[in-house]
Amino acid sequence: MPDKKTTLTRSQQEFTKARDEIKDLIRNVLKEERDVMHLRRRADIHQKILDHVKRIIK
Amino acid sequence: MKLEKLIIENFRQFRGRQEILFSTLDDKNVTLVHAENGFGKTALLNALLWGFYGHEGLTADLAIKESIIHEGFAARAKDPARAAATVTILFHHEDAKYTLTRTLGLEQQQLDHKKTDLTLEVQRNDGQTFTERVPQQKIQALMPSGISNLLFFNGERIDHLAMEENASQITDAIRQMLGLTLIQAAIEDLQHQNVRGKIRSELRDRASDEKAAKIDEQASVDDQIVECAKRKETTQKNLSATDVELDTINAKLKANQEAHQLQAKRQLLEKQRDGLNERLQTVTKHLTQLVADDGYALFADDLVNRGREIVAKLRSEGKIPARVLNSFLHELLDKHHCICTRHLDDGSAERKAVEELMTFAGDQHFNNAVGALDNAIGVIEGLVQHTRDSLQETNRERLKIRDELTAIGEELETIHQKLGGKVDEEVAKLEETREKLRLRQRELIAEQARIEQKLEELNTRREELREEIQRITDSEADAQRAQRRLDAVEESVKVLERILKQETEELRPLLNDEINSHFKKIIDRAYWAELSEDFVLSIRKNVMLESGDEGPTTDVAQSTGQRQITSLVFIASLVALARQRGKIPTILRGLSGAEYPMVMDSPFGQLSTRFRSGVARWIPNLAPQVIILVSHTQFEGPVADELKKSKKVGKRYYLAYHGRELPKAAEQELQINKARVQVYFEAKEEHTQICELDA
Repeated sequence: MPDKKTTLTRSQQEFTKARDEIKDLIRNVLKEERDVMHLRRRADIHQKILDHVKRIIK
Repeated sequence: MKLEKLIIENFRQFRGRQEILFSTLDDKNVTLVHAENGFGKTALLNALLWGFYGHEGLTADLAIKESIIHEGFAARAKDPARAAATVTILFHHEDAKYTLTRTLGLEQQQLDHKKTDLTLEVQRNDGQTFTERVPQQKIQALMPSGISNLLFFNGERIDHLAMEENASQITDAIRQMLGLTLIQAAIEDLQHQNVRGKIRSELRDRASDEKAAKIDEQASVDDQIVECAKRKETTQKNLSATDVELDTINAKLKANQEAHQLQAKRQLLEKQRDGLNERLQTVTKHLTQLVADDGYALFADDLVNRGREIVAKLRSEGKIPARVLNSFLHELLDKHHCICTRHLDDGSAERKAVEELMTFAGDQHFNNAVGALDNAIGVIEGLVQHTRDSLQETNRERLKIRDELTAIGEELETIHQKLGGKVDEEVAKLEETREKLRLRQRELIAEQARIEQKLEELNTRREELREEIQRITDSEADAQRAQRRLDAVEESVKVLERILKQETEELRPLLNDEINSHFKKIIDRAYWAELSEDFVLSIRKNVMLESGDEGPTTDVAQSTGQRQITSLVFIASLVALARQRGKIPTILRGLSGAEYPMVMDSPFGQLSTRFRSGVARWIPNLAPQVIILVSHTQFEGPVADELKKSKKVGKRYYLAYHGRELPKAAEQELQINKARVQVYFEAKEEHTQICELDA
């Protein structure tokens, strides 16, 4: 079996290198973005992201 | 997604209810709609776009966008509350069937034509049926409006994708189609005033005065960065527009310069022609004179020969004197001495021989006459040859002049044809506009450089401030936490920016493979299409060295047709990659492949005949479902042949136009497949009918 790390793309490596709390924050932000990506009005998105920042960085 | 049926009611020029059933079969995935220019191809494309996206979906080239309802129908409507335009689209996508209906009432059109009623009925494969609560949102989820311009387009206007200045549109298209816009949105939202701004305010409120001042400065630098970025974008757009204008002016100037060059050449040729005509006249005159003066000599051969024969014969018979004169013989006899030193004594044999000669030799006068005749025959002989040579030489010259005149005449005719097709434009005026544009271009380039310099300075200052702010230790725990949060947001933005750049770049080789495989199906030359590192779509070739070896690669200057092909190939490659999206590695989880139809208005418009068959052969494989709107001039010939050979056409329609006048260049009747159909009908009120034909 090839080493998993060698099969990672550059962007995946970039993500892996980030601190855990940054990875966590990015994952959560992307999840929120996915939920609203097709909405014209995305009123809550900023508050939700802010909440994630506050929850993750205590 | 596959489109199943389109129902149009009183939308634009489609009066009453009209419908099209699209072919949904995999092996017959092409639906063809034949329509002459001006019969409603663009309106049909827009019916689909309006159905999906409303007013925002309409193409830029659709005129009078506020008039959606059929004009005649609207004018006759007795009750504006009940008159409406409706577009219904039936389609299926993954595990469900959808019926989309968009309506605009006459009253509403008069109030605000952008506000339409939309319903979306969903029938899932498990039998569940329901009406979507937020239909537009669902449609956006199924097929984001950002990619609609790649799937529904006017083929004659997509060549811009292959222009160098539109590289940013290519990266946007890649990100849109392959789902990377999600990362872009995350970056923008993290930097938003409501996220980063709020955390920064929090920090500022709790920080020392020194730190607060630096935070304020950072906020100000951020604002300036945003403003600079906007100015940079505007300048870039202006620069692109100026480049396009300059290209147009240059093309016109080139055409005019060509006209001037042609005109100068014509004048030179006309001067040459006049000179040659004069020369021809002189030569012809000389020839005539030659024939008149010495022409007889050409017929004197027989006469000379006969004269010579007669003289020789008479001389041999002794009827004309010998060439020795009697006076000379008398002298010899008187001297009794011959010139051969012999003695001519009386009664000697030698004297007798000389005396005998006296018999033949004539008297002086006769002898002179014979000599003159002899000489005249010799002169005539010489004249015959001279006349022949002179005539041949003069005639050769005459023919040469006539050949040159013919060549000049042909060249003049070619110039006339070329100049006849040109629009006469004032070169000086064009030159003036060009100069203005060139100066504007220089100004914009300088401005762009200034903005970039400013941006660099601002970003450096921003980074310095960030580090300075970080270094100032906060005494309060709250301030420290706010600082950590701000750092996390900033770091996340940087990581996401790097990821977005890398993911876009990582898609480039995959796209290049796709692009090339599609491109090779159309163009059989030793060319290949390529998406460069800075996302410029180009056609490339190897330079051949004198040795016959392949040299370095270079760009092929693209015509509009070639750019259209490159753009089509690019879109097809994106559609293909979108299908396999789930298999392409990304940090974004759960991206699934999506199939999209392609609807093309006039995809063969700008293509030369050479490329049409290649594109027509390849187009059925462009997407799982292909809908082509085409005029007869684009269709007949290679396109018709290739599509027939492909056996991929599942449904076929034509648009019949009713109006006061037949639109320019349109045919009244068309031969489509095996059927001869009337496509134009004279009518007082304009409307278009959709008619079905055997595929």
